[in-house]
Amino acid sequence: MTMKIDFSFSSQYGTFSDALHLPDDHAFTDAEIEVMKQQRFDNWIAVITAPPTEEV
Amino acid sequence: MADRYWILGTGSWSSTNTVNWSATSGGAGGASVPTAADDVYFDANSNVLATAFTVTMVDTPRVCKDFTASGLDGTMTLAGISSIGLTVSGSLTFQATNFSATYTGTTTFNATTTGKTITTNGVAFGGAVTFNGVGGSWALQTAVTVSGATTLTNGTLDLNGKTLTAATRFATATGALKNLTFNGGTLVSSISSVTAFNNAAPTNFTTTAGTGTGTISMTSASAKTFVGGGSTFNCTINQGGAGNLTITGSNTFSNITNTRKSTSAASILFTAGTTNTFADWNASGESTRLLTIGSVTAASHTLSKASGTVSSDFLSISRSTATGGAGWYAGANSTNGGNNSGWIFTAPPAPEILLGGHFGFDEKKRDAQWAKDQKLEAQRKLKLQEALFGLPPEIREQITTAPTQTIEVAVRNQIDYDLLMQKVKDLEVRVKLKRDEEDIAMILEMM
Repeated sequence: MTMKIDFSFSSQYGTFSDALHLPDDHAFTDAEIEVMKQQRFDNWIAVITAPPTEEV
Repeated sequence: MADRYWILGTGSWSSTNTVNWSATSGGAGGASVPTAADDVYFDANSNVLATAFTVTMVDTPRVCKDFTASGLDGTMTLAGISSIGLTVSGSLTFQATNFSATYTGTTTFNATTTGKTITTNGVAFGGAVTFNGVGGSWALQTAVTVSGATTLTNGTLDLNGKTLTAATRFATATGALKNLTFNGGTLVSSISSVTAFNNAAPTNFTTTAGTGTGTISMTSASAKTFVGGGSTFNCTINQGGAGNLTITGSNTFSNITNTRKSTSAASILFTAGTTNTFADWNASGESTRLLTIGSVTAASHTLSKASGTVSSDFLSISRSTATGGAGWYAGANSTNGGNNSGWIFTAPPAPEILLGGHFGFDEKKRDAQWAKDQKLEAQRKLKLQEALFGLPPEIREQITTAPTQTIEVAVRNQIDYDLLMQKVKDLEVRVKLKRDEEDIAMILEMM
């Protein structure tokens, strides 16, 4: 079974909303979970600030 | 319908290879290649020991019902060239760790029933994603990032409160019914393109707000275009990047915002001759970071809001007609670039005045309410005096000698004088006229 942790970050680009799906018996600390959330957000920022180029 | 488990690590997912498919987790190979009715699993028994392995999709398209990568203990790479697609007729789950999707072909979701889910756990689609199932619906369970184009052709795409990032573009395509439901989610278009958001097939395209506030955010640092197609967008359209945001078509939006104002100046331009309607307008700039509102060409566009007050500021407005019935206040710090109509370049009137217990009135309403209250209070006082006059002298004497403050309290409580009389008479029977000022006060406060 898994648990879902919803989270959001606000930014100049708008709101990033995601969720972590973790096993019910996971051993992550709160700090480690916060790091995972931050990584998701950082990865998203990296994507939208360096999007693929397309001919106009 | 059957289950198919990948085994033996690296191999090809083709139309003929059965070596790597088993009917059970870690079981014998030789099971048939999955069909669109079969669920496929990649798990801890898909590799040899805990080694990394690559599943390369060949032939097109590779098909399955549910796609589940979960429990992997060695890194799995799902690979394939751009001409090889993956068609998922059910739900899809990528594992957050030990899983990489490097294939660049199109992933097509073609379910024709509702209740399908997409859980990518931070793994981006390397290619395009298409939603094309008549009657199907897909709800995001995590944020989803699509490196290629995202296309909605048929079915309902429910953002389900999550962020869908269309890094190349989001487009609608000709189909039957297609719906974008937000439920508080955000669709991000991050590319610089004249079709960054392209409602190319607005017929039968609808949007649903659901629970919460949905948003379409256009985030490119370079110019980008929202091709609205004349549809109704039950969401907020947001300028989220430094590049000019052009909105084409006569569309309807729930709201418009500019989150870029925290960082730099920005522009929102409308096609001349179009009318865009807003339920709310919350697009403003900030000091030294003005938001430019204008037309793409040297002619005017129209902005419409049916009622209420637009309270904006730090705008630079030109060739803009504001109409519809609302008061369009650009704010005291906005600039009039000319050829505008309907905009009021002042701050809006104070929205709320706290006085006399009345909230939310403007000054005229407040004064009118105050006068009305005074008149009613005088009438109630007169009524009370008449009521007291009709009482037996000994009762009247005791009540009228009660402190003025007590009478005022009774008046403000809008006592009913018939009720007052009844209660006084009832009490008269019970206490045999042995009331003092405290009795009277008690009676009045009971009213």
